[in-house]
Amino acid sequence: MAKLKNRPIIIIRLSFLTLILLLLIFFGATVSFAQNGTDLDKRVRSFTLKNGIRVLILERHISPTVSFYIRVKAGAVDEIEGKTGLAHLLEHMMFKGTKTIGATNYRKEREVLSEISKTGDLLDQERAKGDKANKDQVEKLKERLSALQKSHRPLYKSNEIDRIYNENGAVHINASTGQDMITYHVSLPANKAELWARIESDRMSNPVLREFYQERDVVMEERRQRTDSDPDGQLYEKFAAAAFMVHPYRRPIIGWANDISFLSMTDMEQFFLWTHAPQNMVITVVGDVETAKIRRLIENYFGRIPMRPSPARHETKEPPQTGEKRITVRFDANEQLAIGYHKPALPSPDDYRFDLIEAILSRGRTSRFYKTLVETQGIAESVSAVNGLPGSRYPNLFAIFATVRSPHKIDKLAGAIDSMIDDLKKTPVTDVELRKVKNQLQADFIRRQNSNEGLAGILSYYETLLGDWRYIVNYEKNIESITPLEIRDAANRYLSQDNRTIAIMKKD
Amino acid sequence: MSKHSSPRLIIIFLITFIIGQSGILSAAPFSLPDHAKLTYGPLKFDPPQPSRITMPNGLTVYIIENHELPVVKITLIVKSGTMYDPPGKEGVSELTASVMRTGGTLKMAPQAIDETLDYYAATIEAGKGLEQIQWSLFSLKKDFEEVLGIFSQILREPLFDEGRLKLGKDLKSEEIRRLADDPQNWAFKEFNRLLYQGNPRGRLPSLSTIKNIQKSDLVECHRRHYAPENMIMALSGDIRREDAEMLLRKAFGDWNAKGQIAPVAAPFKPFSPGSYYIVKETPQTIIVTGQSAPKKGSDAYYAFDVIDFVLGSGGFRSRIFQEVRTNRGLAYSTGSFYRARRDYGVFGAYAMTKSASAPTALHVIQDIMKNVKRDGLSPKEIDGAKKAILNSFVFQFDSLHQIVTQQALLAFDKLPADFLQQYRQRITSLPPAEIRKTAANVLTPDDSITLILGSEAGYLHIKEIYPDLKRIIVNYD
Repeated sequence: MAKLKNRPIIIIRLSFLTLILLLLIFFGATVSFAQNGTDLDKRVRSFTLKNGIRVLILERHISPTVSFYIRVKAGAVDEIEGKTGLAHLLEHMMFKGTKTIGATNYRKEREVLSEISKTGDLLDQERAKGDKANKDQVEKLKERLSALQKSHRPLYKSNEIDRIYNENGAVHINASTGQDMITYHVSLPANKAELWARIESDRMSNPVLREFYQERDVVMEERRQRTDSDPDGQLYEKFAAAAFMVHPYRRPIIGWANDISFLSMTDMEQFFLWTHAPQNMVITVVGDVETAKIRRLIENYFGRIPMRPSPARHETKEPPQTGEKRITVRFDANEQLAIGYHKPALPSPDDYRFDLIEAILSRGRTSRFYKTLVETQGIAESVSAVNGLPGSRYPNLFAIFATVRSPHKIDKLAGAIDSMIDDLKKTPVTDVELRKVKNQLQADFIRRQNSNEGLAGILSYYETLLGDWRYIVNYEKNIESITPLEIRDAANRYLSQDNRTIAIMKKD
Repeated sequence: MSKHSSPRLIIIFLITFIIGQSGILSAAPFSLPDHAKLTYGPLKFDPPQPSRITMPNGLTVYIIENHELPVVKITLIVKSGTMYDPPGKEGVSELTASVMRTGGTLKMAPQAIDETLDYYAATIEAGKGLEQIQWSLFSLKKDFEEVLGIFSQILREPLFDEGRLKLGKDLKSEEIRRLADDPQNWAFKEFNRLLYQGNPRGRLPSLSTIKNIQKSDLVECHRRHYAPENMIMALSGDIRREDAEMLLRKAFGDWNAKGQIAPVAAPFKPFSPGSYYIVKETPQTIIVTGQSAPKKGSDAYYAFDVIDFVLGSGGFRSRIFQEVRTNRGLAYSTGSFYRARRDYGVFGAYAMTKSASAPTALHVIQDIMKNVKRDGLSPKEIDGAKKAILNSFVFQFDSLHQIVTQQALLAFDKLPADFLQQYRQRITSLPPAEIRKTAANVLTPDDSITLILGSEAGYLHIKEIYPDLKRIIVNYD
């Protein structure tokens, strides 16, 4: 399953310490899970509010703290062409306050915001003309926008949501955007649950788009930092874009630079209304709470969010790949590569088989990739396999990422990876090897249960993705039943040359 | 509702459902209360205390039982790290730890250790560190005794297999070769080198120092650092305290190695300020600026923690974040950090911004520092920071392994066992005058170490504004 840690997501803030760790979100160790004796299936309570919000509650009385996750089943994959980055920018804007949080005079503020929106649109229309833009007009509009922003400033308090949470002792105040979903999460001392319900139910229905254009610039900087300056980010973006021809998984979550720089407040309001409709929402609470009390709280606060239409979504299906694709990415960094094979998404049984293949190839020091390519042949610095990129709602990729070790050449490494894939297609894995990776997936699941955040994260993830958090309860059974021949068979059906994309980063 | 739920639970659910509904139906339409007027019940908070044992050989272990999941975890803190590396052998402490793990023991071949641990889905890993190295062990309860036995062998009788040493050196060399590929990572490494110049903490491994390191260096590093008196252990898990103690005594009780560690002087004597620029053609410029700061537990430590919070580590409202990111849209990552250690501290601020706005971002950060140095913090800011620190205090005790590791770290730093409780009291009673005094005394925005990494054009541009900026060329050969 390996679905959570390695899923590329974009988060609203980076602490100093996580700056470096972030790469792990892309290429880090995989985390998977299976059932154990902890009886999650009996302890999790679930119900649906009248407006369609799904709620999961798990009592865990280890310390007087509680973790809250709200996931919305809509993400970058749901954006329309030309508006990439909208989901992620919206997630940033959800921290800007509401009509009652951060507002000092909302009636007046609304008028100014409407002017800001109109002026921003005019400015963007002019800018969009590129070389033919009227420079005086652009300057005039920029000045007008800046004057409006100044007049807006006394009408609100900036960053109030974060301040209120912080002063009340919240930690892990954050949000993330993926291809498949947007997530808002926070942990609080257990006596402050009502504060969470107050803030979240408000911003899930009444967000106010303050500081929109400044935040658009922030996201441009985020793109520079994570994609334009970073070799891993560069390679991944180009790789995904090459692997998918038409499916929206080919687009970066953060958006293409030129799209981001023209996103508008009107686009965002519309996108918010349908994506954050209650029927798309899953709330998960794990920690030192009483189920009945927290249920009442959620019904009171979130039950009042009105139902909104959420249009039927059209899926542009990726046609079968009919030949290998190879791209080169020039960048000022040492050589590395990415290989991706198309494969089906959950609930296909093949997805489970690829979880095992991922572990067989790259989990731990005794994995095939490490033993052969890093240890014995000495041609790789690192090799990892990841099942399920760039998302899991739609057919996705089984991907391999590798960095070469000097003085070896990247092509040699690509060839060596190939012959290991061939092995997988020819020879069934031994019982001992299979037992080992099944043990690892089980232990991973146990590990994740040792925090409120970890539990809230996995429960809400599968409830949002599949409409059923019980995926994790049934996981062990599904994994246990897989045989060496089924693994070989899955490898043969998907890991073919015609079905793959190779992206290679080269300096010159 | 789960179909596995017992009938009793279903009844409770039906009742709460009715109560919930009737509440809404009978009352006026629900309107959102003022968030500032919400009231909260008291927080019951009584974290369990770990027990402590000290073996005759000097090994101290903190133990806490945790029966939630069938696992056992250990964190081991060892007095080793790059600051102890002899000149010309930079990287030896890191390699020693990694090859202890991979290079086999007197009783087990390297491959056998890897296979046993992977089969049990257990992990034993060493981290990297400047002043300490942390080892971690994770095992399912059923395999713990055997995994602990392997851990004991790794710590006590590592063999440093030549093949695994070569692999370790090759991988470290490749990591060094790739260091400059990632501008963020590179900039922070070089910032540390400049900050600690003249002190062993400022020496970084290079290709030649790694090449220099031989098996005998690892043996020597192990001999000096890996001895019971140089380490503190924390254990939590699904095991009775007496059983854990018995197993630990069996594994380590007869370990009578004596270490031999030469003391390393604290840095910043004297502190040498300066501004430096490294050229890398990248669309974003990275700015890191820092200085020395109060050591952990000193009188100024508490006030400075509040100052750092308000300056740039306390969320979106902190001054640097609010101004550089929210108000001006100049950066995604920006803020401050304060790392306080037993005998010194480091404070710094950072921003990553497009080349054209680098001078503005640096200027804004310096201005904020100067203002705080001159005027201190506002009563509202102090109040907000105190509330945040005190209200989130409970998260210091969020997991049992965290509690037990914390005690081990305090003991390692020779800080009192109730340091965190004292910390809480000191923050609560911190007078504004103390904060003002500390800001005035500690902050030295005109005398700091600044490292900027960005394009050639960016260098020429910012050099006009900061003529003292020195361009430096670094390599890792």
